[in-house]
Amino acid sequence: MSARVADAKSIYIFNKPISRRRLGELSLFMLMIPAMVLVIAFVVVPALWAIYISFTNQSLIGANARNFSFVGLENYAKLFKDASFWNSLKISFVYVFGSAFVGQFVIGFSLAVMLKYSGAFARGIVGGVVLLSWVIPEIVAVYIWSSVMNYQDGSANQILLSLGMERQRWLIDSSLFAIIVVNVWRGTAFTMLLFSSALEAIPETLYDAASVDGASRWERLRHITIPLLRYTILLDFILITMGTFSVFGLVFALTGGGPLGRSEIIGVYIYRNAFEYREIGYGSAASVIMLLINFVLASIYLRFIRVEWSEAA
Amino acid sequence: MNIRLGNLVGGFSKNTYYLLILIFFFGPISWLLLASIDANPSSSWEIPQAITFEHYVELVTESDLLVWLRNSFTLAIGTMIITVVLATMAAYPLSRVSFRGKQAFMYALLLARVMPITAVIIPIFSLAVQFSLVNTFAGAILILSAMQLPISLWIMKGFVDSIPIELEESAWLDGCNRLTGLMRIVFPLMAPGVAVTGLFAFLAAWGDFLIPLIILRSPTTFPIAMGLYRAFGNEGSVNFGFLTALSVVYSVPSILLYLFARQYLVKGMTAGSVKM
Repeated sequence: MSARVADAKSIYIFNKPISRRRLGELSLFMLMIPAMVLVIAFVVVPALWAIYISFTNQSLIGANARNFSFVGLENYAKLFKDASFWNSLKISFVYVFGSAFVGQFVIGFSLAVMLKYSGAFARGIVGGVVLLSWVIPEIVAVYIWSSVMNYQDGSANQILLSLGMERQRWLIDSSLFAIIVVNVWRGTAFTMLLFSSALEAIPETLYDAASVDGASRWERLRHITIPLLRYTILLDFILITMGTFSVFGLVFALTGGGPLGRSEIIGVYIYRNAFEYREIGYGSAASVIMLLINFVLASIYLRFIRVEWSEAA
Repeated sequence: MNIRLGNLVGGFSKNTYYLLILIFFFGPISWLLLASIDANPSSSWEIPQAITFEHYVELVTESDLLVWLRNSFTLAIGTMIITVVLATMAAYPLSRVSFRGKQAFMYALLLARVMPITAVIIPIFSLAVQFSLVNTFAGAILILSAMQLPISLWIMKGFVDSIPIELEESAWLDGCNRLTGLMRIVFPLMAPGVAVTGLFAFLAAWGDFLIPLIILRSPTTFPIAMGLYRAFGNEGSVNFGFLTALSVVYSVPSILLYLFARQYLVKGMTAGSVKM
């Protein structure tokens, strides 16, 4: 009997026969241990620990740093009563909506479509400079823009003056607008690259056929390109939403969330409470809310990926 | 006639659009480049009256640049090595061995990848304090590697998937066991994957700001990102020559490496969203 043959070659673990071959395969999992230890230690544990600390009154230094105690939902109660927390959520929402949807998507998508039908020169130059602002280090982008938006003689005000308009205090009077502009500058390349590669996959014959039928450029975009790219569009939306929601350094270093919290996204709010006001427990409660929001977005992302997987299969 | 007019308007508006894009995206960078060689730099955009390379020389002679450079390279190369070694090891079983819940596991990795680091920065700092990792490169490197691993595992698994199993099977027939086959056949063929994940890890660590801000708090451990941030935070943007030259020097490795990695950018960005 074949079962007996298998028996002879098998090793029993928990009374279940496992073939030597399968055992050899399973032992390969040991190769995963170092990577998993690191990810668990610095990604999984911190996420769970944030939830734990959020129920305590732990502080960064002082008596409550080591001898902290449980305070139940006190941090959350305080959080929901804190106007500056709600403000940071609102700022985050405007920031994500403005820079991801209005800026990055519109500019990135239009560039991808237009550059497809442009010469190699335009593709190289225009595509190249958009990419350049994406690849330079974050803090360099901050430094450049803090100079561009300088009140006295920054180039943004140079342009306004040359157009006969008044100088603006960009980083003070319109700091939310400023961080949106800088994030559009920095993030547009992502959308452009994503759609450039998606467009390459659309067979040219579809457009040729539509042209023969007399479809205008707009009609081809409306009836061929956009329907075929609907998944890429959704994917882009969800990725840039999560990406923008996670931005920290760009805003922290450019405006510090100010003035008076007018550009304080939730990440800066968390940092401020934990590392400046030194209330780790309270800051963690805000972290948990941020994790929850991101988890909702990520669930949409994963669900959507599964749809595409089953369609591709 | 109508069509030609349409093309003319279309061509005109397209070029206008490109021009605006160029001004918006390249204008700020051109200011940086020009000011860094301007004998009398300021925050306004201007063609230098007199060109000088003095600022670049000052970087070396009068600043902590060499210390910052060394720290940044330590951080980036350390993160690259840890990430590549661990991801290469783990990718093989992920690709070749079937197990229950594998798809769920790959999803969990994606979830880890899109988790905002800001949200877990408090416990990461507490962990670093517990294990005395504050102000150590080991601490910063381990954290940066852990952040980079989920996406690296996805990319590496994709590369192993693309190596035909038949190659390994013929090696087994020739007397290799699973491990020697892995060493002799699979690892060499994973070289492109190693290059891509290595580049991404290097770039992520090189440009990172948040982890140095939290972990590397002592000036002797500052990477360039922190040196630059402190310099313009403390003095305002007054010292234009120094800060612009520093920014250029700091950006060059990023730009060069991205040129190499360009063809893999989209693949890395969309890991998991195309069937692999």
